[in-house]
Amino acid sequence: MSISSAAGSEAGSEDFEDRATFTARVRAWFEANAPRRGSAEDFSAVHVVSGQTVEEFNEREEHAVEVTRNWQRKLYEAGLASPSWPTECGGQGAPEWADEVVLAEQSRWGVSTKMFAVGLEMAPAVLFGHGSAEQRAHYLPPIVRGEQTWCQLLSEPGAGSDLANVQTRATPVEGGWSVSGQKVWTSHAGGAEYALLIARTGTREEGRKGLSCFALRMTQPGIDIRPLRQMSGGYHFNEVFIDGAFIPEIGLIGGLGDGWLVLRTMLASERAAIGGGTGARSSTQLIGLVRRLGLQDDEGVREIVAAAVIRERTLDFTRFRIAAGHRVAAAGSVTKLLYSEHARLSSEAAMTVLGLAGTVADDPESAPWIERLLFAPGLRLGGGTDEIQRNTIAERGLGLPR
Amino acid sequence: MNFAFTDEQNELRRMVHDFLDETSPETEVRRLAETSLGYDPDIWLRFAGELGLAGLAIPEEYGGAGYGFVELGIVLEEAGRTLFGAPLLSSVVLAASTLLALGDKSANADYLPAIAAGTTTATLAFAPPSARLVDTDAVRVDATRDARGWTLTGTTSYVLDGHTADLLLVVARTGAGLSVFAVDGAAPGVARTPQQTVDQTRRQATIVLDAAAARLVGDEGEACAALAGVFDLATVALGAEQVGGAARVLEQAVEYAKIRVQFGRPIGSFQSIKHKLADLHLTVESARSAAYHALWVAAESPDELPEAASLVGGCCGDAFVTTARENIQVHGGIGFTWEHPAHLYFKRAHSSRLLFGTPAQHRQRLARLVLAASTD
Ligand SMILES: Cc1cc2nc3c(=O)[nH]c(=O)nc-3n(C[C@H](O)[C@H](O)[C@H](O)COP(=O)(O)OP(=O)(O)OC[C@H]3O[C@@H](n4cnc5c(N)ncnc54)[C@H](O)[C@@H]3O)c2cc1C
Ligand SMILES: Cc1cc2nc3c(=O)[nH]c(=O)nc-3n(C[C@H](O)[C@H](O)[C@H](O)COP(=O)(O)OP(=O)(O)OC[C@H]3O[C@@H](n4cnc5c(N)ncnc54)[C@H](O)[C@@H]3O)c2cc1C
Repeated sequence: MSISSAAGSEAGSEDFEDRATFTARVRAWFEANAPRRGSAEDFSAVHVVSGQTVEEFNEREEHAVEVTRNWQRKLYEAGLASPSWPTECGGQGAPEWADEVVLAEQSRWGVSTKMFAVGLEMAPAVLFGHGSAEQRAHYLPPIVRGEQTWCQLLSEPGAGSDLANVQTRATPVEGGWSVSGQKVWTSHAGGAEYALLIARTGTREEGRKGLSCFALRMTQPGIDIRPLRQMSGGYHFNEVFIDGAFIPEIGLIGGLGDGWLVLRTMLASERAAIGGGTGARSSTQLIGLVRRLGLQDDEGVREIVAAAVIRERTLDFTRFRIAAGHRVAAAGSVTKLLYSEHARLSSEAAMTVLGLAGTVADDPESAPWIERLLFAPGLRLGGGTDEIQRNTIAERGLGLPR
Repeated sequence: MNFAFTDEQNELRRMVHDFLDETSPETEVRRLAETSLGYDPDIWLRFAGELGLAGLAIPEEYGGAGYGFVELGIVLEEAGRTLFGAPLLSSVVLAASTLLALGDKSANADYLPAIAAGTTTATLAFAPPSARLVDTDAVRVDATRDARGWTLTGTTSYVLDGHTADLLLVVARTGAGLSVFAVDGAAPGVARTPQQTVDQTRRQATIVLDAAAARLVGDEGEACAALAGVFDLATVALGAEQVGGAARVLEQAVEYAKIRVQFGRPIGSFQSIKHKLADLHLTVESARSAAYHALWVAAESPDELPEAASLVGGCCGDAFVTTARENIQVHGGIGFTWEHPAHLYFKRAHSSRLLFGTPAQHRQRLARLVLAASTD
């Protein structure tokens, strides 16, 4: 993500240490401060929160937020949280590659900031791409300090893949806007201080031209969050009813009626965030499972393991290539699709390996896989469905006619 | 791991691309497919001598440029795009890698400079006359020694460019196990018969040896370990070539889908064609990632080579086959004709997928390797 260049605050970056020195410092810091993958403290999958009851979900989500927040604060205090951001936004004014170095290191450890992905990845993409310096200085520092989390209020019952059909309306009032409407499938709405909101400011007939993007404060009257139960039986996303919530002037991101443009930036960063996830390495876990079950010499099992390993590694290597500047057409859609495919493949692979044990959820070996199995279909939908990603690759990546 | 290409590497890619654009258009590929040599020796001399591409990964002390597999991979990827007919895989990858792996200084000094210069073409002969798998245990060439030196007797097949290579590196059995021997392709006792290859852009031959004079390369009985490394390198190099071919046929399919009109619209506007091509894009980019990673491993981190090579073997061949097959589909009836280039790639894809172990074999090995490594 070319954030610091968009910010135009290259000021301090000449004085910044060189890449090798910085990389060594980051390495050493992680050695001293980050839990190893597979250790008891590993929280690299903490963002995949679900619970069987609302209470259990809330408890786990609070835990996930807490763990992520502590980690983010630690990173911040070490000067390693979004270092390429300008200092007035909470960063270090470091060159762009500094973020890559931290992210690459982070992916090797038992840590994750994905719980805060909307705040740490999508909100900055939108604010650096379309916001003002004042907005960046206002919204970004609490995010980078781990103090505030964000969610995304895009989908509505009548506008899923087709977001041009959003009906939630923002009307001008004294000092800002008043918002009313209904959003659905909102992940992590509960703990969030802010939402990136797409709302209609023009007429219905204007379609995508009548949309604008806002930062909406979630903790205010007029916002009613109702947890939705998902297919696993757990809770992860919500319906959000908005009735006369207030957004001050500073909350309009990009111009009035520029919502579609902002949305494209947001969705691109979302795809990249999902596809570029540092989520749990499920093939490593699959390998562990096969070994514990003593199935290493089963040819069929080996074929399954190899397929999962190939998909996971090629996804990783593709991400690294993109980070290294290789031109991959429609890169975000490519990694997002590879990722959802990987999640599906590895969870289905594990079920085959588990055999009968995969029919019960109270077996300690099967439990985590069943959770993944029942989450994987959602990964093919959230953040733009597999079909929409294929359309994007074909039309924008390969240049095929609409 | 470093995926970024240097300016020099990008420049190399451009140079190779331009050279092949000029020297290996489809008309030339088709012309060479009908010749008995299968390649144009003058072009090969330019490729090796003028551009120094045959010796790219050969150390400077043996007349090469002293680069590594990342650079060689760039050349192979570009060669794969145009189906460049040349002893690239045989001489530059298999034979040179075998010599380097065996580490016989005097043989290297005798052979590698000429391979680098393109004045000698070489190949590796390892497969028995009827082979289902890459299996060195099944070698059917025996080496015996008398007062005048070593001689080889037996039959070996599927030898890449075996009918033209000046120098044959033959895997043969001695009392001590498998060894590699250098045999002059034109020596008495060497009978070479071209095989009828499915892929006419890459030749193979059967070689019958009858007390042919041979020179032992490396230590007697020590070939197995070296050959395992050579097959890994060959798998990786072939992976790069397969990626080049796959990327090229995907381009052809995309270009055609934009211009072919049926039902009053370009067929590329039909969603089933769009989604097919999008999936092929994922397939090609994934294979490319596996290949680039393995090329880097070959150059910088040889301990990881077996795993990286089997990752390549487990996906690149299939990626090329899928892309080449679907390219024909997108082209409709015209893609099924002799005149259209789609079948040239289809045949290359299917043949190259079987050269150094099938994808299924590589996946089995990959699984064995990752399951044996202690990762959890
Ligand atoms: C786990 C999860 C988390 C989510 N989190 C959030 C969130 O935090 N915030 C938020 O705003 N939304 C969120 N969503 C909503 C998500 O973005 C939508 O579900 C998604 O965009 C699809 O919209 P839809 O469900 O209305 O399906 P629809 O758009 O009705 O699609 C139904 C089917 O039709 C296909 N389809 C639709 N249009 C086309 C087309 N043009 N070509 C081909 N096929 C098409 C789709 O691919 C899909 O298979 C989440 C969803 C899930 C599952
Ligand atoms: C072996 C063979 C024998 C044949 N014998 C005969 C014969 O005896 N007599 C005869 O008249 N013809 C014959 N044909 C021609 C055959 O019927 C056509 O090749 C076929 O109908 C496809 O037409 P096309 O080649 O023009 O491809 P196109 O119609 O141009 O199709 C190209 C690609 O676009 C796809 N496509 C086209 N329209 C759509 C759409 N609406 N939605 C999604 N995808 C679409 C196709 O599926 C194909 O993948 C033969 C073809 C072959 C290969």
